[in-house]
Amino acid sequence: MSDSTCAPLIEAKGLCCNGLYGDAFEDIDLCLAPGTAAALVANPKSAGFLLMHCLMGFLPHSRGELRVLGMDPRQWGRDERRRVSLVRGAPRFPFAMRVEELLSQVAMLMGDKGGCERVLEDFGLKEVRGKYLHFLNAELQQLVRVACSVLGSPDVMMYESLFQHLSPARAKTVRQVLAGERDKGKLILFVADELVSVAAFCDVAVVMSGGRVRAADKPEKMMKDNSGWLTVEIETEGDFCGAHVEKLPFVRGVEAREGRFCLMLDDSPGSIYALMDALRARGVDLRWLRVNRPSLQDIVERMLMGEQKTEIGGRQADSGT
Amino acid sequence: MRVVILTFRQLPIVLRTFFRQANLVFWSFGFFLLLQLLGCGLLAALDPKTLRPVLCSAVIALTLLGGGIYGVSYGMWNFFRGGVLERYHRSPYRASAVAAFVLSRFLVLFAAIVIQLVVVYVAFGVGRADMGRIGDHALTWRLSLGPLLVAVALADACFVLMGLCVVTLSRAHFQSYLISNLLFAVLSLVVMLEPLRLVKGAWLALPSAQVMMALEALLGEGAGWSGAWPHLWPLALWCAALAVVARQTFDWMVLDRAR
Repeated sequence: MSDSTCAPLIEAKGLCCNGLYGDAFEDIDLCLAPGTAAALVANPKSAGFLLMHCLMGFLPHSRGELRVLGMDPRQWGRDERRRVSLVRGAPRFPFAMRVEELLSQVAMLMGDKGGCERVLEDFGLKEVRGKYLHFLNAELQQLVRVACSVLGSPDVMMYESLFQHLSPARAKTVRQVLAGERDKGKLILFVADELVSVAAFCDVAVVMSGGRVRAADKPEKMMKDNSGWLTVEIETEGDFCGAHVEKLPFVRGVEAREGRFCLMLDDSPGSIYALMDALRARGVDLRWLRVNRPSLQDIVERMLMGEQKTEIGGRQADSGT
Repeated sequence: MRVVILTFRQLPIVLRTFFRQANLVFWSFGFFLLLQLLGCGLLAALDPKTLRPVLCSAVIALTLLGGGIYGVSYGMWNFFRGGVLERYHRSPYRASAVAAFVLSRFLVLFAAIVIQLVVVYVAFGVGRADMGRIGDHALTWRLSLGPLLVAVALADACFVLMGLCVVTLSRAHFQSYLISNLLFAVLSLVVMLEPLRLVKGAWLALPSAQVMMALEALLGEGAGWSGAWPHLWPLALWCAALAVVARQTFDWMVLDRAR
């Protein structure tokens, strides 16, 4: 999945695991080289968490081959364990401990001299270094978690939720720091909460659905390969139903969204004018119309839902229109 | 060696975080000191000198039991359940994080017991051969101080390790016990020890009984090493056994932790 020719840090072939709560996965092929930022876009998310637990050697896989850092993670020794960090969910902090104390303690344990000052600077935590961890807001707590994971310069960094609770500005800071780590040859793998950061930051997006990998590629390539259509949001005067337009050759699907309608059209010249003409011919007046290029979110949603056209009822969905 | 060095380097941080939690400090240790003062104060008013060493031994044993088991297991449970320990998991010297925590509780508990001993000695004369004769005081303490500190240290280590085992051995069963208050914890312990009644005298083998008997011998009779020894080696055995169990069963994370 990565263009890099270096030996992969994570290599899985036909990996299967039976989770306890219906979150199993099967036939996972994964090959991630150093210097890669990869996102697991999993539905359900628990399958992504389960895969991470397998990659860490917490859970045994039932079938297939798995090599992380060149060996089965269940056989890791001290040195291998040190080279991998994982942040599971939102782990708590020791009570009555300050930000600086925790970071210096973890840095001390990881043998990272000066690591505390470095991450305080990198993650913009200097102003809260003397604050108690329990009194920080969720955003700053998440920053501290990510900062801890970077200490000791691990080769593989895994996150169950990386950008959770982060404002766009803080998310940008995290992306910049992790991009720096990636450029140093580290591998970053996380379960994606949202796809804006995936599109902005990742080299590889692995789309998992029903426990299988549906697609694994660069986000830009994924978007390019799946282009050729537009989403058009419309709001109309009077009654409108999907049947008015869904038979049109350039309409790929119609979906009701919060009182509006979202149509997927071929990205061809004139398709929008043709749609407007068709609506006018059927006596439907447009209140407004907005055209969007498909985002990675749209593309992944379509991958997960399949290519079927969305059927809607004959009457306008409950709306304020 | 590196683990030992790191353990001591982390100790100040862990101790600071402990003393910042006033509630925890009071319910782990301060409460027992108050109990000691209250109990001995009442007895001092009634003046039955023979009862004072027994009462002091019982309260000190209770402090060790509560402060050791509850103090360690409650903190460790929070670390364990909340995922705090996971943060240290990848470190080659991760054992030092737990060791620093356990050592801090050991030291604090030891200090609390020493304070209790000083208080009962100064305020109520417990441990003196004869409360009116200065010379005998010195003699009694010279004989008893060494074994007394060793007995307290062994019992302290024993209950601290037991607190560690409680968390690691049966997490689900003890959950309600760990999050409840101390009195409930002691009552639960009594219920758990109920099967011991089936074997006559079996409760004497428990570390709590051993430490009580050792303290009674030292504080009440002024016995030296010879009087304490029959109770010290069972405590040492308990320590070794609990250390092995804690080492073998300790787990760093709960995989099904709620996210």
